[in-house]
Amino acid sequence: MEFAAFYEAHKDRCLRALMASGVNRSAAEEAVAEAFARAWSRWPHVSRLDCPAAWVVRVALNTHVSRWRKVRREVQMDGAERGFEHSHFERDDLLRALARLPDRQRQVIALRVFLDFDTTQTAEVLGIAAGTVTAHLHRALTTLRAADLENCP
Amino acid sequence: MNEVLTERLQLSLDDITLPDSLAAVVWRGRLLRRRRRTRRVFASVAAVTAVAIAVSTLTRSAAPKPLILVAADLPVIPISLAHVAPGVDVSTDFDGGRLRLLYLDRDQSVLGLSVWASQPAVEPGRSRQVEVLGHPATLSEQPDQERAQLVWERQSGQWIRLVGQGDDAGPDRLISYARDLVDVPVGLDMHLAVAPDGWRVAQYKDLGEGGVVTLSDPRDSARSVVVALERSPAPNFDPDTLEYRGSITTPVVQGRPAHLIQAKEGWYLQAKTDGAWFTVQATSDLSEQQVLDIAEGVRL
Repeated sequence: MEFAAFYEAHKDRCLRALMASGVNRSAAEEAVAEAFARAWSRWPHVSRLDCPAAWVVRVALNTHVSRWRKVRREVQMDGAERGFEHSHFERDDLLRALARLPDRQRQVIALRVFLDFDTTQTAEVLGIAAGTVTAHLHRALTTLRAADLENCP
Repeated sequence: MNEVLTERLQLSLDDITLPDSLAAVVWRGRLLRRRRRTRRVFASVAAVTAVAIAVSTLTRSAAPKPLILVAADLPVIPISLAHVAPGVDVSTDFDGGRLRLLYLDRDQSVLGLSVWASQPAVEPGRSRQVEVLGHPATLSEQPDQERAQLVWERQSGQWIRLVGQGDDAGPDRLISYARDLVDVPVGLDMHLAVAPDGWRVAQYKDLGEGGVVTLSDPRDSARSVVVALERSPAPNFDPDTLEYRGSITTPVVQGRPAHLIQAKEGWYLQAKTDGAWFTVQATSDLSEQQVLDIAEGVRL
């Protein structure tokens, strides 16, 4: 697969998955862009993996951006941008319920929903057992369904 | 998975997109790769010159619309601090259509400066009214985040927002910085003399060792030119490391030999300027001469 096609197909989904995992928008943009840059720099290797998108998301989740970049992005999280991000999670009951989930459950949902990863891929990205993924998924879905029912008119 | 829940969650973030262009990501990847190789091959010139471009996104069937080049109108912040302490890094960034000026000191305190035509939003927090050189201003603090913002109308139609974070950019310091602003403009970390008429800066990224600016046609963002500049000696030109394939010529740019590839997707040019090297990637809307004219005007 060409890197350009891979990037176009996955960049937005990876960003949404990171945001759904609890990473703020600016930090998620930075981490995903960095992860794709690393993927490009190792493309002969990454392109041969079963799921290059899983590699990108794992790198993005693990990326520790430099203090400089982190600070810069924090400063940019001002005014309109911050409001924009908040608006997504405030205007949508389901996203609000997602935001209240424990981190691991939230990550599992993010990978399953926004990247369509299966249990094995999700386990690999998060470094946990497949059975643990299933358990987190079950608990998360139970909570989300309950929240969804509560908010039904 | 519950399909209804899945669909609703997907739809809820459907409008979130990554703003980084392919060219910017590839440029960043190239820097990473070069650093890695330089570490590995310590005794040789291991520079890698691989910049890819979105082949598929740049190919269009429509006939190219004739373009003319005019003096480049790059965004500028019209004001800056009169006094910058030694050791403070000054940088620009561009996001969401607005240029920002950033000052980072050794203690990692950071000051962000942006200029607005109308009153910008202020983050909710502990807010009070203050005065900046006789102008009323709003100071908002978010102490739990070591963060503060100051917003005021410096002159008619020129609103300023200062955002401070860290020990040396607290509320009092913000007011002090506000009093230190002067009408000295600051622009991007690179200069372009000419650009396609009517095209605008769609994105700019300062990557520390260099920057990438994307100019595009607001009526058709697929029509674009990307200039990436790096402050370092030029690496050897190696077409085998490029994803561009096409005829290669060696024009003279800024009095120095350059390399130009004409591929079916567009143009790729690698050239040098004083203290840096750069690439110009342009869609086929531009002629060879226009690509060379743009390259002639690239400066640090």
